[in-house]
Amino acid sequence: MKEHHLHLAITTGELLLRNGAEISRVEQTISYMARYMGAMRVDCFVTPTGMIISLVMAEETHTLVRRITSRSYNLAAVMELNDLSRRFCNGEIPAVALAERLDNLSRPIPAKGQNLKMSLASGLGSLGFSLISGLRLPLALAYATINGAVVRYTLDYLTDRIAINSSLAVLLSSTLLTTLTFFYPGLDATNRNLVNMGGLFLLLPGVTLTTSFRDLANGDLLTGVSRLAEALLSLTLVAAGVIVSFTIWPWLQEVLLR
Amino acid sequence: MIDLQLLINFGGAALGAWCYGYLFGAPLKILIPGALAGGVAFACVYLCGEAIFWGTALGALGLGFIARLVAPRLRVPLTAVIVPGIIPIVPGVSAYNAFMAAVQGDYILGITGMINVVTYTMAIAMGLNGADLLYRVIPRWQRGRKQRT
Repeated sequence: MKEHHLHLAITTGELLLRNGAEISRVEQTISYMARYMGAMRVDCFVTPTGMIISLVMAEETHTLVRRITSRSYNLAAVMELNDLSRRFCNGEIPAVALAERLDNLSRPIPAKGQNLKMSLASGLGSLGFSLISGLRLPLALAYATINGAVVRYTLDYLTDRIAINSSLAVLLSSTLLTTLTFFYPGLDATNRNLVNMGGLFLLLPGVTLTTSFRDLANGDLLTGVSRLAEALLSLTLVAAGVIVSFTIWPWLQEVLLR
Repeated sequence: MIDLQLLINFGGAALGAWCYGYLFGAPLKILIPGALAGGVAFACVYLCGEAIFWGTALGALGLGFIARLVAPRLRVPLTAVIVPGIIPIVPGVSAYNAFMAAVQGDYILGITGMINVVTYTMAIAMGLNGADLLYRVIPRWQRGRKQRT
């Protein structure tokens, strides 16, 4: 196996990390692939924002570093990468075919109407979360569904089309959502809060928070702390968005009534 | 007699897990077990009532078991089932409420809320790791029992 093929291992790891795989899976995959390609010793240090891999191969040490700038969840990609790495290590696919597939996976082409489908799924998700939050009023449930769809569409629009960074997108989406909720007629304060919460649920970093504690419990201290910081930042931005909306609402009301 | 509220909560949690799974790019074959796992996990929390910590731990344990049963059969990584299924029980809203209370000056409520969030998150970690542990221990125990008989 040629040494430059080692880059395949780190690219697979990079794509796994970018698509939301666990740190342990990324480290294991890189390690298995590198050993299959002839590495005698593999040391991986993976964090959510970068990877450092050191390999000993043919009595030479190679060190590879990759910076990870964007992370999201794509479970289908994680599954495919998992399958590809396994088949590669079993000798079922050659390095060339793997490189080609990795190249395609690193540049995903969004399907037509994807944003609309995502917004719809987000709306229905918001409906589900509103139900478990105790919201039962049919009108309020309809508003919560609209909120869910709006928040996803806004996020996609801000990050994909206007290309602003994700933190600012979360802040703006949270502000817009809370302001929109103020406009809904026929709701009391409790239901209005629950409707708002249904949409905000999609912005809240519950999974990141849980993953950070799991990482800490597993001994991945650096990863756990960095994920915790990410979760706290998201929480701050969501709360800031709500506070901005609460601050501008009286002024907005005055302007609209004039 | 089946509790209607339990059914509504199960349905809501399953719907939420399904949609979140879809948003996370999960294929259809994972969405169904993911949604069921989410529904079961939240039903555990609901049935435990005020004992939210134990309910969350039990829900995470159930979710971990379902994921361990389903994932090898579908030939998918464990995370693919756990991520959608965990959504209904993660304390995102509790964290938000605690944070908002602290921001609005109610520090006692904020700190209490944050401690609750840490506790619930630890319960999830405990439940998932517990399922992992049991799944490794039970087959060994069964093998040992067969060898003895």
